[in-house]
Amino acid sequence: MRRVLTGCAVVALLLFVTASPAPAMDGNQILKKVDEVQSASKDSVASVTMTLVDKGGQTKDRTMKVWRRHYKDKDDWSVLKFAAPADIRNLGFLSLADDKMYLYLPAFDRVRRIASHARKESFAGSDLSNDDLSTGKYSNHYDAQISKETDSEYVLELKRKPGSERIYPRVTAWVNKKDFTVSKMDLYDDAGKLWKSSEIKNEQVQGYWTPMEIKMTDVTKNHSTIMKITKIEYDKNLEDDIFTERYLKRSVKGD
Amino acid sequence: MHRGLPHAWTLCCAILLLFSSTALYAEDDVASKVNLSGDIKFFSSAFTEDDTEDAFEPHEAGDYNLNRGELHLKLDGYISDNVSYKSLLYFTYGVRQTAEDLEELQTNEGGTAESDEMETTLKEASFTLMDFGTPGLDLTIGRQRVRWGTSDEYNVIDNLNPVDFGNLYTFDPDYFVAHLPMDGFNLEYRLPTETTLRFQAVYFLSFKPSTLPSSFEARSTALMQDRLEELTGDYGFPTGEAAVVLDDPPEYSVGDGPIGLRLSGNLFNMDWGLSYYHGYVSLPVVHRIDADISLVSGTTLTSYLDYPKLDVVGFDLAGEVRSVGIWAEVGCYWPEDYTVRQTTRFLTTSETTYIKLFDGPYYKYTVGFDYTFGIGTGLYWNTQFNHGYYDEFRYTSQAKDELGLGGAGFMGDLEDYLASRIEYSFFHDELKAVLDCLLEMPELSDISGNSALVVKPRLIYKPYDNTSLELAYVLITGDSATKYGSFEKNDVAYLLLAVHF
Repeated sequence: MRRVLTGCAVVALLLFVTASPAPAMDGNQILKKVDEVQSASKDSVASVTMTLVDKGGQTKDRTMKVWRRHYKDKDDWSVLKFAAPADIRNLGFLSLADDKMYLYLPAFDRVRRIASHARKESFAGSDLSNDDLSTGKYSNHYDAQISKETDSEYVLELKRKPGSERIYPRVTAWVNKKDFTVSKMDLYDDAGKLWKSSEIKNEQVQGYWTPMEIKMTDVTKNHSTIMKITKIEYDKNLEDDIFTERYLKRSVKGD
Repeated sequence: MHRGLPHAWTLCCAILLLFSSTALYAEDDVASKVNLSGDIKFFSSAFTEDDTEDAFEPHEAGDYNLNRGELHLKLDGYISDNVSYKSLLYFTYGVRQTAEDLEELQTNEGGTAESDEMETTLKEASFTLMDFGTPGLDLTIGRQRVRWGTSDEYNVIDNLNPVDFGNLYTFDPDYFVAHLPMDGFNLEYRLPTETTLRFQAVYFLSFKPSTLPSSFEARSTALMQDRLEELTGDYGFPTGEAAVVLDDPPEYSVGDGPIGLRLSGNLFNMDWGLSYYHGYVSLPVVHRIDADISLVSGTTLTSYLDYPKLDVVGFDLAGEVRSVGIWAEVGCYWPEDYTVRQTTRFLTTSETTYIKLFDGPYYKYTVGFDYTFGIGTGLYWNTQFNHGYYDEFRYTSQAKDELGLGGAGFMGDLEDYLASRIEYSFFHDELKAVLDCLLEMPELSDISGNSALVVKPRLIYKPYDNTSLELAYVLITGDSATKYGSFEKNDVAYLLLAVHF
């Protein structure tokens, strides 16, 4: 039913587009569209591999499972649990609305609240910070301006909104004009220097645009982390119960 | 016989779990419901300073303090969507460095076993029934650890599982003030997700005492001997032996199991919890002292120890203020009205006095914060102020004056502590440098003259996934009358190796 409605909406939109000149979108409107594309589905369950690559090319592999609940008008919820390697198996991360984040430490069988000061900390030794796992919408935390436009892409300059606790004060994002997916992001530190750069490969799965591979490089350390989705399912009608401390403490079941 | 029952019960549970998991392994489609994991660990610590005068543990620099090898096996998984299980089996051995005599070097003919003794402990064995009867209700049955409180290391409301004091001075980080799992029931009910309210009720089947530091009996007896010599010295009587005896511990019965209740939630972005504990103090305290004055064989003094009952009402809070993580806990301790009966017998006469032991109710509390400074990859700082350690009580002035209790030693008066930790990671968490500091302050007004400081720099290196090496040095300094200061000449360096699988 949802697909039918979406199809009708697309047809109506096409008719509208052909009937009238396309109104120019500003940066914030594009960023909102990016958020909408990222939160288009009701929810998702993904199996992910994470590969850490050091400057010498040595790699370390991790596997994890990610559950995510999407909302149109508020922050998403997500739960992430490591399945391997053994020393971090069951390590879990719960992100809720209003920047509430919890970390489950299996060695101590304890759930710890993550205060916002820890947002910069590396997540499990990767090039991702805890902040990168936050589920807040970009448009809630950044003001965007179009810095460049090509036939196929918008290049957005994102500036952190006053009061936001996001760790990157400035972000440059390359947004596909056709589908509003993001193909690349440059993330800057407080001093205005390029800190990290991410390259994203998007594919459609079950009709939803999905970042199937993300390569995040810490340019200051010449170290990168590659995250690949090996399996993803959308609209599973996940129960609220999954996004709780109770679920965070459970063992990973695997696939 | 009674004491053996819980072990037999949990062992049966473990065997059942092992059998059930074997059956599950046979079915390919549900094989992922069984997880076998664990680690192999080796801990070795050595003294770095001579203390040949120590009456209890004399040593020279270079002597081993502790060598311990361990294999931990963890089996967990799901029997169905609503039933999970978890079991932890520990195999521990102390590495013997030298053989005392030839007999120790001989094995039984044809035997392959070495003479090292291995200890097997079923650390945990429990299963959880999720959404038991109603959505949001979980029931965990079996041997388990139930954690309460939000503080990092020193919790004042975490009373359900007794503390393992046997490792208080080994400084093995995996066991330092660890709590001992117990057999029982843990019911948790989470109200519908629109609210964050959770209710928890815990009942453990029977009382379980804390393990004690290895020299506890010798030190307690020595204190009694000193007291005996003081007593007899005044009158010129000959001095006999002092003894400390564990007497009349709680029964293995339904009424002696501790219970706990807890209500928790989130308000104004702060996690909070209100808790109640009813059970026993897990440390043995004196409840009777018999002095038998004899002019012929010498006067003897026997101290009988027991476990008093205790109620604790606790409140805890965790959240953040201006991006600084904060937490606080307070526990109001109500020990039962507990008196020590002191009897002095001489020939056919005897005199008995009663001394109230605890001055209650009293409070233990802790407040702490953590913050990550934006220096390099992030310098993590965690600090906590603590009033009242796990082993401390508030004694009446009569108990202090007449029984010599209190002071700053083990099981002494309530003291203040300041614990601080700084961490910094290098090479994407491959190497972590940690500095732990603990300042023991029996009296806040006299920190310079009466305190102890424990400083523990550590390096944790993870060259490969699942492998870690930790090298640390434990430096202790301070007044010899304090809990840690009395171990001033017991500085140790340790190496901890662990491989996870």
